[in-house]
Amino acid sequence: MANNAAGVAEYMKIKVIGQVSNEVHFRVKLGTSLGKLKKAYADRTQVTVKSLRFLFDGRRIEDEDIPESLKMEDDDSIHVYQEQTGG
Amino acid sequence: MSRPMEAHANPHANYKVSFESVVLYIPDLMILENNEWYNDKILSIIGEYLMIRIADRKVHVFMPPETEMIRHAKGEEEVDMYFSMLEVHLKPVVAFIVNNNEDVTRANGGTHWSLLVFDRKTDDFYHFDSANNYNHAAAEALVEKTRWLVGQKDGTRKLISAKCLQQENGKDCGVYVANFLHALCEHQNVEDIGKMERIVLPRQAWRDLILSFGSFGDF
Repeated sequence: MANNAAGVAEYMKIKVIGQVSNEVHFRVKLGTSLGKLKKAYADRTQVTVKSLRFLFDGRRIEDEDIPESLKMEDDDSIHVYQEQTGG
Repeated sequence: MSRPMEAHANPHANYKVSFESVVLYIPDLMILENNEWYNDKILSIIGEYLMIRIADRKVHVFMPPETEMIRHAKGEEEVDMYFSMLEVHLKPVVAFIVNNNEDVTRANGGTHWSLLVFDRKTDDFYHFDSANNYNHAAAEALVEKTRWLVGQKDGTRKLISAKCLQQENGKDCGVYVANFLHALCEHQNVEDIGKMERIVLPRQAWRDLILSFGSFGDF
């Protein structure tokens, strides 16, 4: 984790593990909305951001969540699944 | 290459509906307006509402993305690693909203929704499927990965295909799952699902409920 002058971590590494592509690593700020990370992942893997579902520690992540509020730690993994439907 | 219209071009782009950890945006809400197949987001907001407001968390409900992750996990160890902190082995009733999607690489996958319920009182798993047990294989696979997670005592017990209301068209399975789950959450009694004689809450009722959580976001 990268620290600032006060010794407080500013950035962390997050692994995004998808079914379509292999692990993608991102370096994010603790206060970055995970919606931004989702968008970046969608661009990288060329899938529609609307259909992506992020899960962390068995829970769904919403776009407004940030690593800090989810108490994420360096090197933590997010799992990606996609939109499902049925009738 | 043409670019899709930017979201902010729509004056209602900031409109959103949220309940607890679920947020729905315009594309999800259009499903309700157009009477289309429910997607995982619609069933997640319904499930979260029923689990918290109706069942007072005495039932744990696994929403579709979580169920999907469990169903496609490599084995029980992986399921344990990601979901054990939820401590569902302490809940009297555990429900899973099940989809039959087999291709996890595909967006908009799956064709049918059903409800799987573990009842601690009887130590059994029950599958409520409104389309003649169409999701049986998916539910069975899920049972094999969750026996340990829910704390079933006898891991050899077979999945029970429970009798339940059957849908009369090819689009309402999500509505049936919502109604089954509602019946379950009311008194946390699994038998109540099979006793249902009709759909109490039709599509319109869920649409109205979900839209009652709407607001214009400030972002």
